[in-house]
Amino acid sequence: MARRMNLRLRAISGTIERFYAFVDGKKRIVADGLGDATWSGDVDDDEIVVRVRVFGVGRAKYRLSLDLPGVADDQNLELWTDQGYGEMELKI
Amino acid sequence: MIAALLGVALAASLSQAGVLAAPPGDPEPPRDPRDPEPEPDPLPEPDPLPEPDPVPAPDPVPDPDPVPDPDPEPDPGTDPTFPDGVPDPRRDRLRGAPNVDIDLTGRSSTVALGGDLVFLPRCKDGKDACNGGRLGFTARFPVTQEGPGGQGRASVDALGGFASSWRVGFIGEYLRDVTAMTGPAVVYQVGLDVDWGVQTFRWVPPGEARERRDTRHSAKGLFRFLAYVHQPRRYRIAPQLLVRYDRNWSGSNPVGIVVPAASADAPDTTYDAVIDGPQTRPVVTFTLPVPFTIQRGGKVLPQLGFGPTVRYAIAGTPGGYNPFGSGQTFRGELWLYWYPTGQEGLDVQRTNVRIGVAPYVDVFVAGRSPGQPRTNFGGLVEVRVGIRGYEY
Repeated sequence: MARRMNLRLRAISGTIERFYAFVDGKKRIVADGLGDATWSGDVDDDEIVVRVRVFGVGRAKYRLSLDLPGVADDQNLELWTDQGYGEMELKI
Repeated sequence: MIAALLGVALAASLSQAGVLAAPPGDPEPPRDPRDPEPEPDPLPEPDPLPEPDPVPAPDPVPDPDPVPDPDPEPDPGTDPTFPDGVPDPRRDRLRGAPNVDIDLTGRSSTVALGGDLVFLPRCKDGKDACNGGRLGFTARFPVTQEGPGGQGRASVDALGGFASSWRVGFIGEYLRDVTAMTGPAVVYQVGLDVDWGVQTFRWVPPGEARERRDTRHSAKGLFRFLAYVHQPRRYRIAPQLLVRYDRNWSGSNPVGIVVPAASADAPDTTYDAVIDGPQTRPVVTFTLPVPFTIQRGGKVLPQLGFGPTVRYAIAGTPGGYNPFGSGQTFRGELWLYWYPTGQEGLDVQRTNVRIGVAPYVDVFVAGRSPGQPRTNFGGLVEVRVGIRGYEY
């Protein structure tokens, strides 16, 4: 049975140039830093690996929103890039 | 490094916990007992939330909900609504972005209409190469245009970014992204931007009492290629090539016509009149900017950007279509950019802000007028908000 997952990336301050999100190794978000970058879709019941990569300039702040109903409801993380790069991997 | 450490820490903690914890104060919603699909809890713990919620909330809404929400869609494309009310795109691959812009300055105004059809990058499963693009339509209409021949306000309109004629245009853009889970971000982009406009000019030739009028068509074409390479925590470079062809008709400047005084003791007067017809000169411009940043060092260097740029402009003969064969000008620009982080007060609520200054030098290679210096120096300043930081 599949579960529905929602991902969103959004620049908060500074300059973000590229947003990427990989879910279980598949590239699901490809976007520039203008506006919201979203993806939603079905994922397996097994452990999910979400990898987020953010390319910007110097220090920039962005928000990662994740929603996996029943497991991780409406999670928000605000993160900074360091030297123009930010990376995060979540195992859910 | 902080983000990486945070990522590792979060990944470790989440791996241990197995799940992301729900935020405090957000109780688990009562589940419909008639739901035929029992929630498959991956944890062996039988009941992680023992709190029985003292107020049972009798759920007055009956909501029979005969459909047990099988949700069998194989396409992982639909998306629900996030709780903060930001609408998410539906059906993911295609997105529309209409826009209307009305500019007012003095007696002139311009209405700009347009819309984009954005094809979000589509990635084949298991592959890192994604293809996307954009199709756009633009139209700009000057609503009011004052002055003889439309020239009286031409400079003011130009400063305000107003179009002097009706313009309709088309934009097409193709994007290919081959960024993988590791390594640099690599993007290629090819775009074409064309527009066409029409304007009627009026003038009174010397010696004639009757006004002449003529309608002319202007056109512009812009080709752009861009390559973006961002090596994490090292550098970002985005060389690009822009080729622009422009054949824009513009009216002649008005001149003062002396009106002799009616009597000997009255002064002569003048009035402005356009005595020549419109003119055009086809121009093609090649621009090669190579903006880059160095993502190393402390606080200052990573926030800076550099943009060495060379431009070459070639003009044709007046009234013709061939842009080659007349004046040629070479320009060198050296841009220095500053990307605020949001703590400087310039972009409290704005992202992707870029401030740039550049000295430039023009070298007139051919077609110099008599007495015109061979070189010309100057400076450029820009403040741009909401842009892609790597675009020229």
